[in-house]
Parts: sequence; C-alpha cells; structure tokens
Amino acid sequence: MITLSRSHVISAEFPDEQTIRFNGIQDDHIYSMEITMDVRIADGEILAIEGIMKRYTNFVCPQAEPVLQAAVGMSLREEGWERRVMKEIGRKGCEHFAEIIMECGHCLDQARLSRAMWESLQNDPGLDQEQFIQTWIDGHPEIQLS
Amino acid sequence: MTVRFLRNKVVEVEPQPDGSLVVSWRLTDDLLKAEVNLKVQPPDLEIVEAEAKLARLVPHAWPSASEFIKKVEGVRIGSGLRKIVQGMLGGPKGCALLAHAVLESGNAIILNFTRPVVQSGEKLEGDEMLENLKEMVKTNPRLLRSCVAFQDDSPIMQGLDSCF
Amino acid sequence: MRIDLHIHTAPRSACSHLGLSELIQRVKQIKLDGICLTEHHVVWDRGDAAKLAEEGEIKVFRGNEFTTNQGDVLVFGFDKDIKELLTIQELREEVKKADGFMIAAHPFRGFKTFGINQLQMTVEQACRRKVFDFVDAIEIGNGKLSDDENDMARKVAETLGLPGTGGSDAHRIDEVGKWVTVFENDIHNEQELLEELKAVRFSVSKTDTNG
Repeated sequence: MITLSRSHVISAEFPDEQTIRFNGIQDDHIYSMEITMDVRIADGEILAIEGIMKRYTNFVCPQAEPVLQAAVGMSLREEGWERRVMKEIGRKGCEHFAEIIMECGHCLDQARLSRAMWESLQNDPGLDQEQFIQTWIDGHPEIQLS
Repeated sequence: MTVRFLRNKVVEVEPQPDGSLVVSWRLTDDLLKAEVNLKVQPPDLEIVEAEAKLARLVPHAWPSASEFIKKVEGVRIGSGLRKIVQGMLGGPKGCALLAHAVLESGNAIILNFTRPVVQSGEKLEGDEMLENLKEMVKTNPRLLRSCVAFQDDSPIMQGLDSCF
Repeated sequence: MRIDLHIHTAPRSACSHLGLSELIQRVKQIKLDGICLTEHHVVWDRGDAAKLAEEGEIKVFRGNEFTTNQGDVLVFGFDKDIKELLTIQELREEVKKADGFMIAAHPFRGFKTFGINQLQMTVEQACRRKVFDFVDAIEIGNGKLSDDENDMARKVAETLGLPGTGGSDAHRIDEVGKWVTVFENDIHNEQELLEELKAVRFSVSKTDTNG
C-alpha cells in the first residue's frame, strides 16, 4: 500500500495586467495548508500573502501564519530567492508554507507562458505550440521554467 | 475568475516486499506532463534506480530526461541532498524540473519515516504532549530552530537548554 | 591544544548566523586554543584569516567543506576555489595532488525527527559507504548530530581503522566548541596542523559550552 502521499495544486489567475494571483495547496498524510499570494509580474515581487494551516503537528505551528508577512517584498526573481524563502518563512515560520511559496514561484513563468499561448490559440487554432514556446522563451531572457 | 494555469503534482511512497521503497512523482499542468520514479534502498536510502519521462510541451533546451535522471543513481537521500541534486541536475545546462522532482521525492521518503513518529505522539494531551515534544527536541538536535515551533521563545523550548 | 575543526561564519557561509567578532569573544570565553574556518565551498583568503587571528589574538586555520556526490567532506591543505559539485573521486584526486587531508563530515547525520536508529542501520552496513574509501579520517564528534549518530561514526572509524576528529559545525554562537579535536602538540601554522592530522596525534572531546 501507499504509506505516504503528498499533493500540490497550484493555480494562477491574472487579476490585472501587472499582477498574478496564486493559490497553492499542500496536502499529505501529515500536513495540510494553503496560501494565496499576489505577485507583481514585472519583477516577481510578492505584494500580498495569506495562509491558513488546516492540519499540522503541534499547537505552536499556527503561529507561523503571521510570519508569512515577511514574504511581502521578496522577489521570486532575485538570486537565491528560494534560500531566502526557506530561511525567512521556513525556518522562522513553517517549511511547508515555504514549500508552497516556492512551488508558486516555480509556476510564475509557466503561468505567463500558458496565458500567452492560450491567447495566441484564440487567434490561430493551428498554432505550432512547440515553436511558440521556443519563441516565447527566446523573447523572455528573465524566465526560469520549472 | 477562471484560472489561466493549473498545476497538479502528487508524490507517493510505496514500500516493496524486498524492503526497498518506490517513490512515484507525477506532474501535470497546462504545458507539461512529467513523471519520475525512484527506487530507494534502506537503510542507507540510496537511490538505486531512477527513471523519468517528460511530455506535452517540453522546452528544447532541456536534456533527455530518461538519460539525465540516471545521474542520481548512487546518491543517498540524506545530508546535503539539495546541494548534490542541484549540482547534478540543476544549472543552465540542467533541468530544474527534474531536480525539484528528485528533491520532492526525497522529501516524501523523509515524510514517510516521519509519519509514524508524529502518529505515536498524537494521542497525548496537556503536559504529556508537551513533555513528548521536549523529548523529541532533545533526541533530534536538528529540530532546534528549524521552524516556529522550535525557536528559543516557543513554549516547547521553555526549560530546555538552547544548545544540548 | 583544543581546536574546533569545523566552523561556519557569516557571510561566507550563507547558512551561518555567526559573526566574526562574536566568534572571537566566544572562543576566548570557552578557552579554545584555535579554530578552523570551514565554509561551504569557500576558502578564506590567507591574509584575511591572518588579520582575524591578529586582531582577535586567537589561532585561526583555514579549511573548506565540500559537498560531493557522496556527502560533505572537510578538506585541509587544499586552497583551490571550486564552486561546483565534485564526485568524491574527483575531490580525492585534487586533494591528493595538493598533499591535503580529507575528513568525512557528519557521515550519519539524520533528519529532523528520525535518524539511523529508525533506519536500523548496522555498523557493517554503515562501513560500506563509498565515501570512506576516499577519506583520511571521519568526523566522529559533530555538534549537530545526536549522540547515536556520532557513536555510529566512531564505531565505523574504529572498524575501518580511520582516525576520528571533532568539530562543532557551528552556525551560531552557542554552538562553537561543542566538539573539539585535542592535539598533542602545539600548532602554530597550517602546515603544522596538516602534519599533526596526518600523524594522527590527536583525540576528540565533547565540551559543555553552556556554562
């Protein structure tokens, strides 16, 4: 049988042209938590964040919720951002919150690319999707696809 | 508002009759479909087999997943794993997605062993629960300052030395 | 002569919270005879280390902690600045050329809530790790490890006939000096440190640093 299972679900919407809004959920046999955060597309800066713990291991864990505010102002594009998230949110708060933020960060450029492709497909249903991806990547040197 | 991107990931650990652990990692999103399978051998938690497949819309620059993932065979899930995997699979010529997959698979193995530890303490209440947590910190020094629950000012840490 | 062979300082080790001035104060407070700065993939500039020693009036030696495919290794007598991941074989070759000394660092470090005990690892199994074929010594006293984990390292070192060293692996002030290597002779410079390590004229000691 399966003795440990973990799921992540990350969704991205674009409330305006400058902002991407992530909702991230982590759920496993031990932990369950969720984060919503707004990120400025231009520089990857976290503009707002909220989180809720639903399942955790001890009574102190929920004190990590306010620690999340330390993420506001961090950029998901700066060198070493993952280490910073783990240090400031993970170690001072909760590593599972940090993991969700990092997964949202990994989806930042994928979400932009996904939206761009969707819009292009509206105009050209026969679009060469592989070629589109390559052209888009070449035109966005700042991206980190993962 | 409809979402413009959705990613689903799942990682599972399944113990095998021969004592090994199989980790199955899956990802699907609007652009990518990926899977990584690792066979991990206790007690050293060495990755003895690694397989990977990438599909749907894979960037041209990414290396061939099925060959590239073989680099982690022989690596132990343990101290320094993040640096080791980033060094092997990350970087400009690597594939960040596969590096994340291996790290998340390693994390799942760790959680698999953590689950019984957590379960054994969850029926305790009040002082018994607190004592159990304190004892856990004493026997696991890396818990110290690892998260909000084990910072110096946490109620769990009251009465414990800051350095054992 | 009591030397903490394994210390990380900020900002050269990104994971460390240990500043230089507080380190010097602490070294004097707990009466250590010397320290080795072993940052992650960073070798201290010789002049910077000498300046720190002079200003702090303490003995400062330089090492390096490399991550290899088989885990972390402390290296002495090897100044090459290597940032990328090496295999243990590659590192061994490089260090051999420089006539340096390699120590398997915290080889049995476990995880946050479990370690080698839960994994039911035997000494015989532990001895089979590849890293031990490529090092000159094993760190048998590390301040980040539980007693069980350090004990396993000690048993492995004894079984394999490798010498054992001690170091705090300090990243914070209160961790400095928790484990030390006790050298039989006075050591004045890095060449002498290397000679004493190679001659195995040392033992390890755990220190109560809370007082």
